[in-house]
Amino acid sequence: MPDLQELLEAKRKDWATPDDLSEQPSERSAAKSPSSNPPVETAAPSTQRSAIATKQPSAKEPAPKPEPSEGDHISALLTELDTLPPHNSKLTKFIMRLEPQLADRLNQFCAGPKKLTPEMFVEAILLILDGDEEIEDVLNSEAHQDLKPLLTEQRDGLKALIAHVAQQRAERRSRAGVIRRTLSMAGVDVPK
Amino acid sequence: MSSAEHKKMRTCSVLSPFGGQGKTTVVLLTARILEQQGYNVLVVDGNPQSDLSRLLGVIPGRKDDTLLDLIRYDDLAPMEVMYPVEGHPNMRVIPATSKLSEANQYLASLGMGARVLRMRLEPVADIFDVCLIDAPQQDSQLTLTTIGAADSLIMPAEANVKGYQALARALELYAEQKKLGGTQAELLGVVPFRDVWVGYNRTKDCQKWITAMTSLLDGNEELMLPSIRQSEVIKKAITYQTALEEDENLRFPFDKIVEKLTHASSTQHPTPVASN
Repeated sequence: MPDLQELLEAKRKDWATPDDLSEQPSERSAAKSPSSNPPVETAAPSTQRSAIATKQPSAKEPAPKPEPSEGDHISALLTELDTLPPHNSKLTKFIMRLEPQLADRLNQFCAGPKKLTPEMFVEAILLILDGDEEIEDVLNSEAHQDLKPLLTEQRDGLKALIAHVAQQRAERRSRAGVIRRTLSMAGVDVPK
Repeated sequence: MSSAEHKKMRTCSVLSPFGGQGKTTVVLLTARILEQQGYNVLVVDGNPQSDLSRLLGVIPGRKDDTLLDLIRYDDLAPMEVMYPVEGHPNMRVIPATSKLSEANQYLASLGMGARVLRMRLEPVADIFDVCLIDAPQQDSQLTLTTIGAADSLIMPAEANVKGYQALARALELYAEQKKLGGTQAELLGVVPFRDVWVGYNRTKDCQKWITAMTSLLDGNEELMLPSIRQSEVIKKAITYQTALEEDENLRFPFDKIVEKLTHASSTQHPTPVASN
């Protein structure tokens, strides 16, 4: 019989956030399809949480949003991340906004239609940027040539950025436990 | 398949709106006995004083997730706020800090705060056999959510006038919540606390107040559980993490609570895992 620790680990792996992370941020204002809705019992608190999480109204609408020109993804993302409310757990969505195709690939990598948890996403993106062989094979296929520049030219920058953002969020306290553990698994130094 | 379909966890809130009534003592010593018997036990510190967390040796840092985070954030996995307890492999604790009182405002804003903790614990209902909640010691939204989370309630109360008043208020609160549909919990029993005995006899004063408490239960003596005696041994058991093995008399009320919890009629009966 599995011990308590094993049961909890298995449960942790199965855990999916109520937010449908495959939903693109640009479509958030549109009505959610039933399949992308969280379970009924979590719908109400989710709404409330958003209300609390966005206490800084100015943060919701990032003021002068720079046009993310090609090769300027990092600075665009940084601007957005700077305006994030402290308790917003949508790190993944902001990264997805950076590069939808990369997000799609991550979704497939993380067991297809399954919902991604923030820790899975951070882990996956670090893994990909580190050059996981399986992912490299996929990306080397002709269908994904458009992603190659991102992974080759900007790999180091992106990885540093993601680590930096995750560290910042850990310091800000939001989702600290999850992100700190994930970063530590990914071998990134996280200040306590 | 959802956890609810496999639910085996029985959640019991230990409730008293006053301090010093024995809530933490009941939770702590009952949890230890349950764990010794091979049950997977989840302990929730619902009190901003966080005595239970400290006694279990779990003191969250400023950046660590606690019960406050679990209540606030519906996308936070309950597993992320569970901490192991040294020397008790089958026990986990969801700790509290003084900041837990901030949850009151959030729960009040929901309008359905009484259901929140129950919902948050749902994902692990198929893992743990018993969940014991140390309720806060005031009338608050936190208290209501700990009542709402429970399948059963235990109400400890000092065997004196303060305990009598505390029990009266706790019963009132329970009745109100039941009437409003805020809880479906059954009252497992009342545990007189700091019951003073001299030799083989209970003091007259304690007897008087315990009789008065029974009258609050409409004379239903079955709900009056064995009392926890005033004893230095119990204090030591709490402080030094022992489980009262050496004194059957002192252990008896906790054994009785365990028996009630593990044989309670509603839902599936918890069964202990094979102990090593």
